[in-house]
Amino acid sequence: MLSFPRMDDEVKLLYDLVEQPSFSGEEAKVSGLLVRILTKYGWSVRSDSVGNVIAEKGQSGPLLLFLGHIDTVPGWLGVKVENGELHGRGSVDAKGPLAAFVAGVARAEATLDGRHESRGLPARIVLVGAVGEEQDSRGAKAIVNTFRPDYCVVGEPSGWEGITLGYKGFARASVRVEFPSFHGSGRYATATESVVSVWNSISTRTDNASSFQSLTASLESVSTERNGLSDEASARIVFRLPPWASAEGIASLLSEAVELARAGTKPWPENAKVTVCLDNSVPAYVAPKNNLLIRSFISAIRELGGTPRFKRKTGTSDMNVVAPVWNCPILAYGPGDSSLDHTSQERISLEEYSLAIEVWHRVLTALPW
Amino acid sequence: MLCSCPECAGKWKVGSLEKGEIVVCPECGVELEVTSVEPLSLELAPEEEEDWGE
Repeated sequence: MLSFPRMDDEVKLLYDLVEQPSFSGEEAKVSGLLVRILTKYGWSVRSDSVGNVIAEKGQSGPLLLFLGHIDTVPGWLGVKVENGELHGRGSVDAKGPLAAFVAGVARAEATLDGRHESRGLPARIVLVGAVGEEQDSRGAKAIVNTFRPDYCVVGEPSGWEGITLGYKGFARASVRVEFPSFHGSGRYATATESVVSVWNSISTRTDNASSFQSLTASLESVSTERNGLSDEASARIVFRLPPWASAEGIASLLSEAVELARAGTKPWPENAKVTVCLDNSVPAYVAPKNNLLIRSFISAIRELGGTPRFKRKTGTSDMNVVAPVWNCPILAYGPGDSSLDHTSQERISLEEYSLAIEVWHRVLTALPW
Repeated sequence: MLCSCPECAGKWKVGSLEKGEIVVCPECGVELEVTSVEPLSLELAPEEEEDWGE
């Protein structure tokens, strides 16, 4: 039987995970660390072929799958605890939510083991520590056809009082223009001018303000090359997709933008070669909010004196990958202020971390599985 | 069960409700959370807000 973990143990769990750098594509060391931690906490643990950590508890009952991620964006920050906050890359996105779940399960087991009629956890629980969430969600894509959970919680920062119901979608595209080389004093647009013109057309056909219902585009990079024989330019563009937008719609928008640019004031050479690629995309997802899982989180947050809030996020997460396939009650939950995601100020309040652990404790012990 | 909307005072009947369930007032369309079943208590459901990340 597990002893009731002291706050020190719970903070150490988070500290140890944050202290181990794990930029996307370099998750092997944190994967090994998480395997050791989870084994100590009594989980059956393995790694899969892409490097995901997969841990299981419980023998029978409905399957609750917690989908966290162990990678972070780049930019090492160092780790310190100061004024009740733990500073470090990944403290919010998303080692805080993952550690809070592990500690919450331990608290729930301690409570259930202490009950006279205890039969242990009333459900099967699978924890996935996924790789690659900050890049191409390759970890989530690798397990989406492996499990069919009855309930899923994605481990992302929502704030301890927040319940995230949805994320915008995402698409990355590239536009490449190749012209035969000609003198710059001629009548034709250069390849660079043409790519800029395509971007301007996209920009005027998308929204400037970022909201959940807006279609936004950002110019990620532009590169050019002239070698005396050809004049080439390419642009990489990122779209944030609202629920009403689709990959097909983005493909049409790109084609129209190219034609608008081609019909602009400065002509393109007739043998211009234009290549448009939609490299990867995932649609937006918004979860239903009337189910047992959501109700359990609302009740737990209220019991602790909090005010539950539903959130829709303008970013994208592994929820976008798994939710349309699993089609089960799903939400994203975890401590942390997501405005600190991907910043040099990333840090998490340890009080909030502990409250999120207690929310998990109450959800897991109160759910009428 | 007889429901009463705390926003518009509209009334309607339902078969059964669960604590934490979200219901929609048929009169004014506002979303309400069942905060207690016995006695029945309805309050405005958690607000939906937009946020950055991930």
